[in-house]
This record gives sequence, structure tokens and C-alpha cells, in this order.
Amino acid sequence: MNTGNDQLAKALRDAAQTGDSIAPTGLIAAIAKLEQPFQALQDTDQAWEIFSAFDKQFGFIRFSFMDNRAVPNTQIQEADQLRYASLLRWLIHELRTLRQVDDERHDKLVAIFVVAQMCDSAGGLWDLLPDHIAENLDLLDYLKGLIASFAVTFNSQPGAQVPIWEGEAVEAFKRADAEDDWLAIINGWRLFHRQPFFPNTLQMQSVRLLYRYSFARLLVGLSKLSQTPVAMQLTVALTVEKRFRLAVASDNPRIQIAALYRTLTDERGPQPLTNFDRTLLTELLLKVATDNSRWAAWMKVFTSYPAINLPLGQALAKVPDPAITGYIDSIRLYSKPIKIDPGRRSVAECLREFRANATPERRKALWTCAHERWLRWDFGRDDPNLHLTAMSWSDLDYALVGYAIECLDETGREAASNAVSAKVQTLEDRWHTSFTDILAEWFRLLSRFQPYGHARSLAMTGDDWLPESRVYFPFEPSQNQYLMVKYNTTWPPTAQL
Amino acid sequence: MSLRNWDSEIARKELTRLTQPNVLGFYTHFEATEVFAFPPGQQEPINVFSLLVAEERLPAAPEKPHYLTPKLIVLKSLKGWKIGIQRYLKPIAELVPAFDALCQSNKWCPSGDQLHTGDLVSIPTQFVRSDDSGTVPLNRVLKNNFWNGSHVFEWADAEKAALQPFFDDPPRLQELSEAVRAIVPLGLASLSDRLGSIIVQLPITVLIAKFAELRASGDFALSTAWHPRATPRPLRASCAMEYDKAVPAFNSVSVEGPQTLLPMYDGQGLHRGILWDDENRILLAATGDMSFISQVVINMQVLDPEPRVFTLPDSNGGEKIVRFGLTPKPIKVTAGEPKSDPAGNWTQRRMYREETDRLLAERRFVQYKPVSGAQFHDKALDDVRYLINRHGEEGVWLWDPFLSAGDVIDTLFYCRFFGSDLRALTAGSRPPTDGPQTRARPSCFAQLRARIRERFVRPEPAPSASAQFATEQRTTLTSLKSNLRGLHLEFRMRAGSAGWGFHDRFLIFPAADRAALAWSLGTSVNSLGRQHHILQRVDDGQRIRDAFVELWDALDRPDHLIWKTP
Repeated sequence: MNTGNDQLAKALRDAAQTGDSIAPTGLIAAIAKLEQPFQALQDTDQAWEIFSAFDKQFGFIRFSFMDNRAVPNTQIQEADQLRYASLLRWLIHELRTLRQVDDERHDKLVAIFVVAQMCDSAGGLWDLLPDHIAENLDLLDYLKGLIASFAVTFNSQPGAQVPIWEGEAVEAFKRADAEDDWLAIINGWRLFHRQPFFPNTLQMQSVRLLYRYSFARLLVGLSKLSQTPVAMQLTVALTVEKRFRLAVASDNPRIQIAALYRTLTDERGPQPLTNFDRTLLTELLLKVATDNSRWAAWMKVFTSYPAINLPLGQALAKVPDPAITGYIDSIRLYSKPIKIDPGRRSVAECLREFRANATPERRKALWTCAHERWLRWDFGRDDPNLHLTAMSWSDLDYALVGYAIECLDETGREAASNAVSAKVQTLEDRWHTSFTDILAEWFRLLSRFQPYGHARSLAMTGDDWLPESRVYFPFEPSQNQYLMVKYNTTWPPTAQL
Repeated sequence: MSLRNWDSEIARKELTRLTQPNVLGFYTHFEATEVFAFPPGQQEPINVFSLLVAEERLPAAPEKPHYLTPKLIVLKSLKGWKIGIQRYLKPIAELVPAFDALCQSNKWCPSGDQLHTGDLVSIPTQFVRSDDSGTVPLNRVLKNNFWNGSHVFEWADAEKAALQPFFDDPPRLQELSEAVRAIVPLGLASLSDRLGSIIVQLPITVLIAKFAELRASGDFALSTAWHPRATPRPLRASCAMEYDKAVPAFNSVSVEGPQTLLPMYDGQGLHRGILWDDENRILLAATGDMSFISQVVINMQVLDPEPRVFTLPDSNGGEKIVRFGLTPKPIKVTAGEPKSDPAGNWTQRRMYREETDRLLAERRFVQYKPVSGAQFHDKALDDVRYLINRHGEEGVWLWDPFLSAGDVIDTLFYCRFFGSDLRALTAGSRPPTDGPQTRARPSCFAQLRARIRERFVRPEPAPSASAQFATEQRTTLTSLKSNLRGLHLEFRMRAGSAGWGFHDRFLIFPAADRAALAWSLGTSVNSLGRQHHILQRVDDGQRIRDAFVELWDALDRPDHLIWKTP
């Protein structure tokens, strides 16, 4: 069965042959009645009117792109196929010959974009159109300027009584956007994620046209964008691969962050990245990593998305040294119960990729950085409201085992283990303010022992670096029920799988 | 040995017996922590408090005496005194000889240097349990007494003559305690009776014993684990359940393995467990009153991001914005089944009533003495707001003959509970014009009312006094800049002959599933903190609530309504 794009491709092949052109006269007449034709492409109600006018004349085109499962036969009839080709001849001609001086009200451009939008329903139009449209520099220059002028007025529920918190959230977002506070921008944006924020026809077709015919002009146009919401709209006009290409080529940080954020938070559900997407994303991450503060914010925003793990792992192998700290600091440390945990697995996936691509020196640098942060954190020692009541893992465990294996030799590993054992042995020699306090210290020591214990066991077990199926004790637990009962520690020491 | 005539010699023998390996533990050393002081002009230290803890340490453990205070502590509240803390670790074999020396020559010098003590008397050894089932005061000066408990020997200074300055002025003791506590977790201030004492703590470490209720069967059980070096021996565990001063259940069994069941009839009471070593005639573990949770009520709340905001005139003639987050009504989820009483809940209800009576008998009150100026008015309002936000989850009713709109804003508007049933009842009376409160500067609300009157109220034929009062209050409330978020408020007044006159002022907290609470304000809200009055909880809040409801229901005509939230 032919898809909408298949039938579009056939119509374009037909259009390349000599034949009549048919203008969308109903559409043109409807546009002529509008006071501000451009507005119609940005206003849903007005857009409905002119798209309806087009459908009356060429409704088969919309029909041809419908979901085949819902509409069994979307095949275009022979007569309509001829009209389709004639319409495309008109479209190509207009794209080649349109001059702004002849189109002050933008009637023609609006008509072109409506037709293009309908034929582009499956995102295939612009790649199929002929190359020579690129010769219309007048049109390309105009669109470059148009894109640079895109802006949004970002207010909460205009006209309605705005809840105080919502108004404040909008103001905070605007302030963050003006100050390039990337973390606050994304945190603020998340509050509005239920709002439909998609490009309108004018934005979508302008971006797609320029991407196809003048990537350089698209970059120049986008370089002047200073509002993240606009970048969030424009980047979804392109496929994932194209938006990553754009983000890599662009120097506008809003385009870069929007390209990745909209990809990772696609409202239609997670879209798996292709290998080429991943390569581009690695390139993008390497580009951002040269700006240390922006990289740190990016890491805090994006490391929790598993889709980024492989490209990030590759990028970490090559980023400038300071960026390593930004990555490690972005990982949220809190005590994780001894059980299979997607968060730990996600970090481990990234670090496995890193390990496979990084030099030994780079690996040591990252493992050391992780180990130092983990020691400072020490299972929330500085938080007076936090009390460990069980042995715990953390998201950095893969890196910690990496540290024990690659930064310590067997003597070092033994010394690290013995240091914890010695503290366990002398735990009760020290004064504690409460049972909760000593219990927390006990579990902190046992938790601290885990990466060293796992690293020492790997030679015998050949397990993965991420400990998931066993825990370790600085004494033989089966011989020491006394301590186990004393400190409410469960045995046997198997993780909950 | 007579158990009734304790003396130092008996203490010495007991100390010798109990520090033998395998009796209470496997002590190798004792750790001494001595808090000492140099009173003014004195060159030799005196003992403030000393704790010696028997411990099992690694062989190379002994530590020479060293100061935990690099510099002696100087107390601001006790001039000329200097305080220090010394720590050392000695072999356990030196513990009894140290007390021999104390008894024979009245000299305390296990560190090598003499620490002067008062005239010490040995008091009978005590078993001190952990704080697991309620705080034990002596644990404030013991080390890590978290498991089975400890046996404690004490040589007490009955006179405490050298330490008298700390008793003459309690803040000195507080300062001493805080300074010590910053270094060692010893709570001396709350255990001043132990000042001057030397305490020996023998923690029970020969085994670990834990009493618990088995979740599945409800039986009482004891888990034990012997020290790896211990030789297990027969022990006896017993458990008693106490309820309403009676003992409805008791059991005693010999302990023969790591898990020992103590089957008990199910009941309402609290359990007490004891582990007795018959061979050594010594307690090895004991608990306080243990209760086991059979039912938990969880309050779930969906956070409301929207604050309540209202604007008030400030004392400088400007405006101040009051803003705070609201607490939504919780959704109560009950987990587990309560233990049922086959005789019904009559006993529990009687005990609850007795407990409530006891608490009421101990009621605290706040007294406000007349001081000119608004400072105490704000303090008194804060106290009322505290009560509102402490108890007003379901409702807050304010009953005051002089209650005005401004008073309502000052009090009920501050209730943080979303949708709480707020009611205000006034007699529409105006405060006496020559009272002390009117000599003070007009309140913010008086200023606001005056401004509103000037601006909005047109001269017209004089209405009745109560109608005019209602209009003024309504104008104040409707012109208040506020989002009224989560505010469920109704303000009524007594007008005409409906209902009956009232004089007392109450703050009432109605509750659906328990008795209502009520506080007597002692004066009108307008006068809080401005003249002498006492804010106190009244005995029978429920009766006050019922009286309020009776009058409230009688005032249900439109002319009784001043204002209610939309």
C-alpha cells in the first residue's frame, strides 16, 4: 500500500514532466479576504478557515496522509493524481519565482506554506522538491529575516485570573531565560510541559524550507533568537537527526538545549536514537563541554535521561578535563536500597561506554573524581536529618569499583577495605548520641565497604563492575550473628533481585 | 552478704565479680572521662563528674591521660572557674584497685594525678536499660547504652559543697553542660544530682537480647546472640503485660536458643521483658514498657502551590502583604487493625478521660501583664495564631462580643488549613472608648476602617447601631485585597432579640472524632496583650463548643450575617 509520501513522490515525478499548473484558487480567494494573511498561519481559528478552503479543492491530499489502519483505502484516484501533479507544478513555480516586492501582503507566501504544509504532512515534501528552488535568493533572504524575528509573548493565561504561583513561575522563567540560567530555564519549562508548544505553519515551513535550501541562512536567522520557548518550538519542526545537525552547527545555546530537550522529552513517547543520531549527539555534547558552566547545567538537566547514556559515555572520553567534574557532580547522590535499581543501571551504562572509549588516564581521572565526591558525601553524613537504617548503594557504584580496580592495586584495595574494617571494630569505642546515630554509622561503614569488597571479588567471580547481586561484609557474617543481631543487619546477604 | 546494707566493700566485691570475663562481657579496659574544674585560686582540680566505662578493646589500646579540651573552658556565668575534660584508657585490672585507693585514702588518682572529690558514698548498683522504650535519665551521662542495658556503680557526693555555685545559679550549670556537651555527649544540666559523682558503667555485652512481638502470631519473642567468646548458659526470660494498673498476662520460660517464644494472651497492655541469669544472679536485659503499633493512620496531602495573600496597612501608613502557604485537608488512610477489647472500649474510654483530666489539671496558661504599646498585642496575637495553626485543622470558632472585622483578619485569616471551618461570632459591641487600649495609637485596622469610611461610606440617615456596625465590618472585609485562598469563613453577629447576650471570649477548636478544645481568651481580641488577661485552656471544650453551636444556630437570619466567603 502506498503511503502519503509515496503518492507525493509519484506526484512530484509527474510534476517534473511538462503539464498544466493548477493554482489553489479557493485557498487564494480565502487568503485575499483576510486582513492579515500572516496571522492566519499563527492563529488556529483563522488557519482552520484557509485550510478548509484548500481541502475543498484538494481534500484528497489530506486523505492520502491519513493513518492507513484507520482509513483502509487512501489511494488517490487517477484524476486527482493529475491534479496533484499540477498543484505541485504551481507550488514549485511559486517557490522559484516569488519576490517579496510582489507580495507585500504575503498572500502568495501564505498560500505556498498552506500547500506545503498539507503536502508535508509526513515530513517528506522538502527533501523531494527540486534543487533549483535554492536559486530564489530573494525568498531565502526573506525567510532568514523572518526566522530571526520569531518571538513569543510568554504570559500565563492572558485574560484569566492568574494563580499567584503560576504568575510567579512565568516571571521566574522569563528571568532565567534572560540570564541564561540553563538549569532554571529547564526546571521552569517543565512546569509548563502540559501546554501545547508546537511550531505553527509559518515557523514549521520556514525552518524546513531553509534547512533544505539554505542551511547557512537558517543558522544566521536562528543565531539571533533570544527566547528559549521559540527555540523549543522551532527545533521540533525538524526530525531528530536534522535538529541534532542544526544544534551542532549552530552557536545559539538555546537551539542546542532545545534540540536535545525536545528529543528526550518527546510528547509522542520515547523515540529511539539511531546510531547516527548518537554520533551527532556526541558531537553536540563535545561542543557544549567547552563551556564549563553550561556543561554543568546540561549535565544536571540531562544525565537522568537514559537515551543520552551512550553518546554521553563517548563524549566523556574526550571532553576537556573540567567537564568530568561537571558530569560527576550532576549525579544525584542519595542512599539507594540494596535492590536492582534503574538509576544505577543507567549511570553504569553511560560509564561502560565511557570505559570502552576512554584512555586509561582519562578513566582514572573520572573514577578518582567520582571516588572523591563519594567520600565527601559519605552517605549523607552532613545531613542531620538523614539516618541510614540499612546498607545502601549509590548511583556512583560503577565508577567506585572502577576506582578500586584501576586506581588501586591489590595492596591499595586491601588497605581501603582494612581501613573500613578497623572503623567497624572500633565503632563502639567512640561516643554516639543515640542508637540511631551508631546504627547509621554502622550502615555507613558497611555501605562504604561495598565497592572495595566488590572490586576484590571480581577476580574470582568475573561479575560486572556494577554490584547488583551480592553485598560484602568486613567480617564473616555467618560466624558473627552477635553483630548482625546487635545492629539489626539482615542475613543472608543477598540483594533483592 | 546482706542486700540491705550496701557499702563500699560490697561495691568493691560486686565490681570484682561482675567484671570477670563471661559474666557481663569481656572487658579488657576501662575508659575514663573526667570532667574537672579549677575553682578560683585553686591549683588542684576537683571532680565535676567522672564516668568509667568497662570496654572490650584491642590489645594495644591503652591511652595515656589526655585533655579533650585543648584549652580549659571558661564559663561566662561563673567567673574564675576553669573547666577541663580528661580521657584515658586503663587495663580493667586497675579498676578495682582505683576504688580500693579511694576507700582507703579518700584519694582518686587512677590517671596518675589526684582529682579531688567530695566525701563519696557508694550507692547500690543499678541496672539501667536503654532508651528504647522511653527515656531513662541516667542515660544522659552514660556511654552508648543502646542495647541490653548497663549495670552502674556510683560513688556519689552527697554534699556537693565544692560545686555549690552551680546550684546557686542554674544558668551556670546550663552553660557548663553545653560547653561539655560540645565535646562529649554528657547531659549534666539535666542530671545535676549526679554532679560530683564517679560512675562506673558495665555495659552488658556478653550477649545481645532483643524483645519483640512477632508480626504473624502476635506472640512475644526474645532473640539472643551470644558474644563470640561467650560460653552460653541457661537463662530465664519473662514477660509481663500491664494494663490499667493490672497484670493481665505474664509468662516466664527458659532460654535455650537464639529464638525464644513467650506466648501471651492478646490484650491491650504494655509489655515488659526481663532476661535473668540465674547462675550469676544478675539481670542481663530488661525493657521499659513496650507497645507495638497495630494500627497507623497516615495523613496524605496533595500540596497546594497557591498561597493565601492579603494586604494590611502597616504601622508606617503603608501596606504590608501577608502571605503563607496552606495546608490542605488530609486524606486519612488507616493501615492495620486495632487490637480489639472483647469487653468493648469502655475501659479505654475511661482511661482516656482520666488521662485528659490529668493533662487538664496540669494546664499551662499564658499571662499578659499590662504594658503600653502594641508589642505585646502582637505577641498575644502570635500566641492565638499559634493555637489556630496547631489545632485548627478541622475548624476554628472565635466567640467575642467585641469582635470586629479587623480582629477576624488578625486571627482567623491566618489559619493555614485549607477549607477549615472558620466561624466568628460578635455581639457588635464596640470596645469601651476610655479603656487602656484606646489610649494607644489607633490600630492598623482602625486606620483602615477610617480610610474606608472616608472613601466609601456616604452620609445617610443613621441606621441602627448594629446595622451600622455590620456595614462597617462588611466594608472592611470586602475591600480587603486578598485572594481568600482556601478561606471558608462565616462572620455572624447577634442583633435584635435573637439568641442571648454573651460576655466571655473563647477560641474553640471543634473536632469530629474527639472532644473539642477551647481556650478562654480572658479579654477581647482587640485588647489581647494590651491589658492584663490570661489565655488558658478550659476544662470542658466540648461544652463550650455546644454552647457556641446553640447560639450560632439561633442567629441564622440574614441580618445576623455580616460576611461569608463566596
